[in-house]
Amino acid sequence: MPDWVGITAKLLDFFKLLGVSIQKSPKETTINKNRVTNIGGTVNQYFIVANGPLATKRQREQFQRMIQGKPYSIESLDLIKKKALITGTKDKTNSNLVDFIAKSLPAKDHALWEAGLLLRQHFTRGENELVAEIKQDMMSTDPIRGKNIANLCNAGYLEDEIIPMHKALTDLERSEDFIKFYEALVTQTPTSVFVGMSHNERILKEELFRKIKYATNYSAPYVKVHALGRHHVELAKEILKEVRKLDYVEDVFYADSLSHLDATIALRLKT
Amino acid sequence: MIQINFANDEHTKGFILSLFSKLIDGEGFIIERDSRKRVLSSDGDEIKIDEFGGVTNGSEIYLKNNVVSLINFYRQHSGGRA
Repeated sequence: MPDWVGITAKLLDFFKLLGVSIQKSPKETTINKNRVTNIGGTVNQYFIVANGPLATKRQREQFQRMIQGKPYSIESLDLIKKKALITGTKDKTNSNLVDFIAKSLPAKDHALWEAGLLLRQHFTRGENELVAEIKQDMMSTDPIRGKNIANLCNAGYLEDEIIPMHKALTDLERSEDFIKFYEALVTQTPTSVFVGMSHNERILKEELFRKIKYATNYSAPYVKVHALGRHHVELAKEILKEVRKLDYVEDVFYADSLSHLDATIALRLKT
Repeated sequence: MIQINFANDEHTKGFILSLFSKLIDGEGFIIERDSRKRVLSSDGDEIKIDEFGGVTNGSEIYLKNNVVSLINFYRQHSGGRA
């Protein structure tokens, strides 16, 4: 596998230089050739920088000759950055999780969960721009499942809930129930609230109280609340004060810092 | 392997696509110049110019500039794992 991180760094440095020259002569189509060596042999790198529509007939023919009958890969610089994210930052400690995803979860979600693991790696490193970019791609792929899988994966639900539930139900030969549990989790997150940009006090309170009521009706033992960022943490704490007063709430436990809160609302079981 | 990289602006994307006889329709989807049929991405769905990340050969596989889509592509082309 090529060293995409190294390649990207080189490409971006080089591209930056070319970018300057484009600004100086904006009416030119720029096709530059740069030999890059020591990446698994010699690779011919061609950069088509900008103003493609102004390419001359000769330049178009040159380009078409270049790729005719040869293996090629034509990629935007943004795509290269994303490839580098996938191949250059792989965390081997996730390999058991990737195996579980491949063997036990619906095929349509495999790539979403792997993207979720990638998002979590970058979140752990505090790389918030990359986290936002990956989450956006997950939501572009599937607005509901993508958003929920991003949140669930980042909050550790794969290890804490999905894998134990899968094991318990498989041991009881109730695999169909696992699929029902899983589908509800990734489409509705019925026992979890992730405080986000769409929440204000009223909306968060409505969602949380609705989920607590739903969980109580179905004898679920708890509802969890997750908040990232100072504003979201403060918002969650305010609502949790009110939650404590509800009759069917046994207790509220939470671990928090200024910018991170994970709370568990323990519910009274119906007698 | 010839590796060609291009800037992410729409004009350059359009230029690259034109070299493969592709156009953009009124809704922003990539189409075949002759048949006017919409081109499919490696995910098997229609692809818009703003999603276009590149093309790799074989059967002119059109890649989306999307992490999930790329993971899927790698899974398909490396024995099931990205």
